[in-house]
Amino acid sequence: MLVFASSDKGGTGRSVTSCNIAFHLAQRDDVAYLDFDFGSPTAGAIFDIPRAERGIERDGLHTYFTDGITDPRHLDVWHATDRADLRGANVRAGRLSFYPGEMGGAEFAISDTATTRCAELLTRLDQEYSVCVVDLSAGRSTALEMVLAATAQPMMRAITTRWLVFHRWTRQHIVAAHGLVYGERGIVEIGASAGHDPEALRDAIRFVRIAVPNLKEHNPGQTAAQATWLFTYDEELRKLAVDKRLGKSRVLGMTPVEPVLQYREQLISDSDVSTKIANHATVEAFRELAARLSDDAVWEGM
Amino acid sequence: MVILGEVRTSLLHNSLPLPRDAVADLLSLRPGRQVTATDRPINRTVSPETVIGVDCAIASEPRVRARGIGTVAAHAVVVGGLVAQASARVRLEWTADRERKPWAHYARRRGVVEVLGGVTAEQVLAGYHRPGRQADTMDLGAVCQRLLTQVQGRPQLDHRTGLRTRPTSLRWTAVAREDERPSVRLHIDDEVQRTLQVVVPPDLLGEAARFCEDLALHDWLYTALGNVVGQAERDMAIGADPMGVLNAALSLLVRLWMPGAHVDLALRPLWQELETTPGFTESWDRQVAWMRDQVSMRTLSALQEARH
Ligand SMILES: Nc1ncnc2c1ncn2[C@@H]1O[C@H](COP(=O)(O)OP(=O)(O)O)[C@@H](O)[C@H]1O
Ligand SMILES: [Mg+2]
Repeated sequence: MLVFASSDKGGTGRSVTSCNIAFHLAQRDDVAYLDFDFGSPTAGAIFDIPRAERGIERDGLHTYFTDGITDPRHLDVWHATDRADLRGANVRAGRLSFYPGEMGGAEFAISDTATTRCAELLTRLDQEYSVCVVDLSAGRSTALEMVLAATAQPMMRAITTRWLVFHRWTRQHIVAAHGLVYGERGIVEIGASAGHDPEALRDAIRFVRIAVPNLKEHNPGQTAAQATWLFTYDEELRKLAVDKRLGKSRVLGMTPVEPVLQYREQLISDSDVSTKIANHATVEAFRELAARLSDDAVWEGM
Repeated sequence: MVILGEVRTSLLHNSLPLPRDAVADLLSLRPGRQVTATDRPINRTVSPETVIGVDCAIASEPRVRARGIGTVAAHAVVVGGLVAQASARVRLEWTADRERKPWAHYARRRGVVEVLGGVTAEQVLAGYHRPGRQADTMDLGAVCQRLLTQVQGRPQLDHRTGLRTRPTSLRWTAVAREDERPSVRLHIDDEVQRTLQVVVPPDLLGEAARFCEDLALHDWLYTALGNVVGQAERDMAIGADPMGVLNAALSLLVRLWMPGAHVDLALRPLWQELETTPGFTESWDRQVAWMRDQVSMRTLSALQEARH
C-alpha cells in the first residue's frame, strides 16, 4: 500500500503526523518512509536521526530523481535514531526504513524521466514493504504532480494507493484543503488529466484534522462568553467542513493539540506518555490513524 | 585471472508464476536475439547478453589510482517463472597501455575490462569486497538494478505482489588458480548484502558466474523464507492470522529449492562445502517443516471448530 501525505499549507503537521503514523504501522509491518519534500526535508529530525537532520549530503532521493543513481540511500530508523526508547521498544516490530531527502535539495522540473523513475521506485518499494508513506511537500508541488502522473501508469494500477490531506482546524485551513483536493489544479483535476479516474481518486482521499482543540475539557481559566463562542464557532467549522466536502465520512481522523509537539517535532512513544510528558490521547490518535489507514472498510467507496 | 560480478535477486512482479513461453517473451530484451532456456529440473531462462561500455575508476584497497576500460556483460535470469535475477560481470585483464585505444578494440571483447595503472589483483579484490562501495568507481550493482527494473517493468507482468520479499544482492569475485581445489567463501554482510569469494582452476572460470547465480538464488530463497517465518511469528504474537503469508510462501517458494541443479558438475563440490558450513538445506527443510506444521495445525483446528 502506498500512502501519500499532502497538505495545502506548510506547517500543518503533515510531516510530524505522517512520521508518527509510520511509526505505529511499523510496530507490526515493514514500513518505508520517503521524504519527497525536496525543498525542506525535515523527517530526519522528527525521527531523531542527527546525521539526516536536514537531509543527507549525497545519494538521497533528490539525486535519485535528478542524477540517475539506482539505489537512493535509506536508514533503518530503529538503529539510526538517537532515541533509546524507540530502539528495541518492540522486539517484534517490523522494519522502519527512512529514505531521506538531501541538504540543499530543491524542487526540480518534472519530466517524463522523473515520472518513470518515480513509478519504478514506488513499485519496487511496494513489493518490499507493506506500507510506503510518502511525504509530499505543501501545495501543488512537483512531488505531488509527479506522483499523480506516476500512479496513473499501467504498471502501478494494481497497487493500493491512499491519499491523506492534512489541515488545521481553522476556517482558512478548511477552505485551503478543499481547494487542494477539489479546486482548480487540485489533486482530482491534475490526477484526471494524468489518466486517473476522478471518482476513484476522490474516493481514495481522506482528510486528517490536526491539533484540534478539545472543547469538552474543563478549562478553569475560561470565561462563559469564551466557552460559548468556541462552541458556536466549532459548530460553524463543522458545517463549513461538510459544505466543503471534508465532512465526517471523508475524515480519517484527527489529532488533539499536543504540547510536546508545540515545542518539538518528534515521535510520541509510549514512554513519553508513561512519564506523563505527552498526552495519552495523542498517542491514541496516532494509533487510530494508523489502524484506520490500513482498514479497508474505512476506504470503501462513498 | 580475475572476474568481478554482482547478482541481484528479487521476486518477479507477478501474482502467479509465469508460464515458460511468457518468460521467454519477457526476457527477449533485444530484438532478434534468442533467450536460452533449460527445463530440467526446473525452468531457467536467460536473456540475451547485453554489454555496457565503461571507462571509470576501479575500487582498490589500499586505494591506488586505477582505470578500467572495456565492457560489462550482463543478463537477466528467471527461474521457475518466479524469481528474477540480474547478473553483471567483468573479466579483468591487466595492460601496460597508458591511453585508451579505439573503442572497436574493447567492443570486440565482450565482458572484458582492461586495467590501466599500477594496481595489483589483490588490491582490486580487496577494494571490491570492502563494505560500502567507493564513490565514483565501477558500479556493477547499478548495472544489475537497471536491468532488473527493466525486466520488472515489462508488460508481460501483471505487477501484482504475491508475496512481499526483499531483494538481495551478492557481490562475487572468482580467481583462477592452477592446481588448486575449487573453494568458496560466503560472507553475510547485512540483511540483504552478501559477498562471495570463489577460487577455481582456470578452465572452470567461465562456469563461476552460473554457480554464483545459483547461490544468489538460494540465498535469496533462504532469506525470503526466514522473513516469512518472522512475519508469521509477528502475526501470531498479536493474534492475527499468519495463514496468508505462510500459504503464499509454501506454494511459491518451496519447489524452487534445488542447490546445484544448474551448476557445472565440476563446481558442485562448492555447494557441498556450503552445505557443511553454514548448512543451507538442512535449516531450509526445518523452516519448511515448521511452516507446514503451522498450516496443518491451523487447518485442523478450523475444521474442528466448524464441526462444533
Ligand atoms: N497535534 C499537534 N499539536 C501541536 N502541535 C503540532 C501537532 N502536530 C504537529 N504540530 C506541530 O506543528 C508544526 C508543523 O508541523 P510539521 O509536521 O513540520 O508540518 P508540515 O510538514 O505540514 O510543514 C510543528 O512544530 C509540529 O510539531
Ligand atoms: Mg514537513
